[in-house]
Amino acid sequence: MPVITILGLALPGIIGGSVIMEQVFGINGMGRLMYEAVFQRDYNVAMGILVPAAALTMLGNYLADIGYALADPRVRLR
Amino acid sequence: MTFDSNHVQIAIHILPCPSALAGNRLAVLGGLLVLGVFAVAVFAPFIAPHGPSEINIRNILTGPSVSHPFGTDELGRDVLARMIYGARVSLEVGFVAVGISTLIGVLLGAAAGYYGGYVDSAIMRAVDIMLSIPTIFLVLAVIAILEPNILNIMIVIGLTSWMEPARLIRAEFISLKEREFVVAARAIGASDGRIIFRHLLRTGSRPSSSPRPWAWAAPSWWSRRSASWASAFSRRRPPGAASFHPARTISRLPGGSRRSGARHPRHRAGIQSPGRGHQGRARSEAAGVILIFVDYTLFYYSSVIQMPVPSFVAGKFVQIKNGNTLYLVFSPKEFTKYHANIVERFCMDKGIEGSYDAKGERFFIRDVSWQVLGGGKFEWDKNKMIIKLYDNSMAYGKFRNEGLKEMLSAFQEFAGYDIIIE
Repeated sequence: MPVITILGLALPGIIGGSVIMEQVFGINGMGRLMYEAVFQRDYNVAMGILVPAAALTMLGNYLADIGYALADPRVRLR
Repeated sequence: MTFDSNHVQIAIHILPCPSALAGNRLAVLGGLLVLGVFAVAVFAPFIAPHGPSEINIRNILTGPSVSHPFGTDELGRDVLARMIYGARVSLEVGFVAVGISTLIGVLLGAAAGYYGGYVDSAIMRAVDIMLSIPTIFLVLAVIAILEPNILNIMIVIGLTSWMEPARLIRAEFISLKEREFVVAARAIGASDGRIIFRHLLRTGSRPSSSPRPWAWAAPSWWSRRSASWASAFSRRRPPGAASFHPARTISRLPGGSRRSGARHPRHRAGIQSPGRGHQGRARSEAAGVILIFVDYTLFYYSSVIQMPVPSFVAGKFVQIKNGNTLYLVFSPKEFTKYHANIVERFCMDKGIEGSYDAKGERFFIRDVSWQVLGGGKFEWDKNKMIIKLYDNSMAYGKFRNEGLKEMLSAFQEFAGYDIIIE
């Protein structure tokens, strides 16, 4: 169960991780775009990138919830 | 009586049994490293070669040397001294921030997992909202409003990182609350609070304590104002500055103790996943009885603690009978503390249903065709080629010794061995 939870939580890390990686290695990607958008107060761009990040969060948690039921058939989510 | 035994069980559960810990090198190593870090933080003034804020304009950005083992930073301050003093700030922030987030996370996660339904939905949607905003930006936003001092940082980190423990505890609870011991607790009229805090939390809190230490890495990153570890790294620095973080060593500790775990015996059946197929199996037929030798020694050393099998192994064994098949199950004492644990492990491997009795001393097999005949201790010396079976089992009685010697000598493991049965 903890493994499934961590896997689900790691999914949005795709974007969070890209922020750090792109900043460190100077790659022009979505993560860096977001980082700069936040510091330049470019709300539209920042929010635009937050939407897929938030969607990934939801997806990760949703898949984790399904994963619980697969891993342990006794689990019932009502 | 019940009061006393409760106390003993709590003690066992909170403190991993010292002898069990000693058997696990990772846990001991992790514990020593943590103690080392704490010692460095406490005795910083005695250890550090220079003051953390001592400026030396002539030695700016130097590489490692005898007087500055880790070099100096852009103001000529000693990086090693700053690291040593930084341990204080980092540990302080880590403790408070992780404490806050664990407290919030465990309480909310427990409520969500236990009650389910609307409560679960409400709490989990709050978690989703918090999670969907990247923590870095959340912290930046709060720091922009509040004054960025250490106390505020600790609180902010704590308030923005409770989602992970909440989800971990919830996951553990939604699985555990369907188990028999919860049904049993409810049947005897235990309140929700009692079930959550006494039964579920004690069984399910392990996963939340183990990945938690990683959170220590984040808080210290933000405390760059004073001489914390993060600030020592975040600045431009000369080559040679080492990278090291306590989170790594601490995460070893709960993980390690989980493995060597002396655990609440009643809950053990619930937490453990079915064991892998056991190695060290042999068959022998004598007097119409099929004897199957099951040995967890190899499994324990190769899969659990990952060390070579020593030439001398001591432990306990049980005899389990099904029809005319007699199982002789050996298990090293570091792996299974009581005979009941061996029976439990055997049943998990075979897919046989069973449960512990109320005192947690005996593991009963539900199917009556399976019988536990008895048990004892063994000493197996591969160099001297001696196998010795002796003593008895408190829970299951003395082992049956009729024909045991003949049966044992038929195994190739014990060919040419001196078999001593007492």
